[in-house]
Amino acid sequence: MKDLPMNGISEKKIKLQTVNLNLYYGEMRALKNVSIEIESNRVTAFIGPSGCGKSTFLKTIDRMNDLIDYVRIEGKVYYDGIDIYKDYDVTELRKKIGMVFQKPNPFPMTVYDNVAYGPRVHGIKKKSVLNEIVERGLKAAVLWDEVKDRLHKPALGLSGGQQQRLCIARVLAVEPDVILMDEPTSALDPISTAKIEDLIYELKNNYTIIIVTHNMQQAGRISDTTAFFLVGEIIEAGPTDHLFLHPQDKRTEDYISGRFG
Amino acid sequence: MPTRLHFSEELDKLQKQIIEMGALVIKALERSVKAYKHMDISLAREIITSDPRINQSELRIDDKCAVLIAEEQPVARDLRLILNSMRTSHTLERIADNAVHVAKSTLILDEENALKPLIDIQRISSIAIGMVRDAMNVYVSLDTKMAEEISQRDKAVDKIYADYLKKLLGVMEQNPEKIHHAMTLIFICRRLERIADHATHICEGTVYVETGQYVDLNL
Repeated sequence: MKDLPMNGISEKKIKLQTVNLNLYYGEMRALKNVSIEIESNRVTAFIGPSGCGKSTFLKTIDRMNDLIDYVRIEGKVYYDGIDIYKDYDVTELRKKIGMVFQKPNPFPMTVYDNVAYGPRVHGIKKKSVLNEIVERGLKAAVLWDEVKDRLHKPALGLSGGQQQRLCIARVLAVEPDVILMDEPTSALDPISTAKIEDLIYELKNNYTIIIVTHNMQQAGRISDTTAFFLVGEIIEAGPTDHLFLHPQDKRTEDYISGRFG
Repeated sequence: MPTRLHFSEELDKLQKQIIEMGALVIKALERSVKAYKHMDISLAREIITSDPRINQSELRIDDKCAVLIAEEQPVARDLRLILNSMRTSHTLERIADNAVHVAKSTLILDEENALKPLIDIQRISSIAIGMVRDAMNVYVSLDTKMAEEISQRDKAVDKIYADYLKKLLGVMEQNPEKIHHAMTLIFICRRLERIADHATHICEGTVYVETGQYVDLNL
């Protein structure tokens, strides 16, 4: 039987897919048979209590566990149908799949150099090209107007919300395809949070976004699809409005209702 | 460990408000039928003047729901329960309006050309009021089987109404002088038939809270 259309789109395009993904930290199994499809140009939210595997899952998609000896991964992760653990160069993968972290982490350099850092690593040296990339990245991150007159001042002088948007601009500067966000607004005030959320809404036109959040309302506001993780498993995943109004699993219901004891 | 105790208490309070409103509405209904039966004009007037109290209950429940949504940001079953409480209080208010219409009709009944007491209004009111009372129980218990059973009774109400209408049309054809009285009886009966429909709506709401599904129990 054909899949039911989601949000009126009959042909869904899958950007990322995991199949029976298991991850072990030594003996501890942190991800258990995680199989999920992430749609292109959609925002997918991962929710679940601390330690349930959400961030581990994000890191696995970006191969950030590669250098940790005691991590063992089983199963498949496909990006555009290609097995990222078999057929993909990790530097190329990180260019395609960018990540924004919980705490804004600008480099201790100027606003301009933060955004130009990635393109320079990838070999772009021409000043005019870099200027264009920096401006485009900052505009896409809705930060340009606030920093255009202080491009060569230290990035650490920006507010927390501005720093986080700078980190998003830094990710956008290398022209990724997917943006992973690990609790990107948990350290921000409501106004900065609203700006980031508006930005995410805009960005999904051109990027596929996965966001980990502990804020249920945020997941409800910005995501198209939500997946609920519990003790390394995906308990339930589906269209966000359906999951928040009619969850199918009692554990999902208890968690989103704040009655998880 | 149970969490969100304050929110759970507030939901209990909301349900209590609905039950209290339901009790007021059932009382108004019973009194409106009593006023008609005994042609008690002062009782009929009392029902009309006390209706604003029921309207106020609906507004207070709306406010309570709005505050709970804004402050507690409910989802899933909690949200469905609150949405259904708003809907139920609105439905109860409409039931009360029907009780007021029965009372108003009683005030204008043409006694000089009265028809013999008709048992059908007693029957239809007894079933309809019983449906509302049981629907209020189901609002709390969320017993979907019971909700279906209550809604089934609407068929009997519809049948009595249709038969009564036919009977009164015949009376009007034969006795034109009784048209005014007969028409008023039809209005009263129609109001009682609508009350049964509203009781079914309350039952449908409980199915929505429990299952998340919209069902039509009035088939």
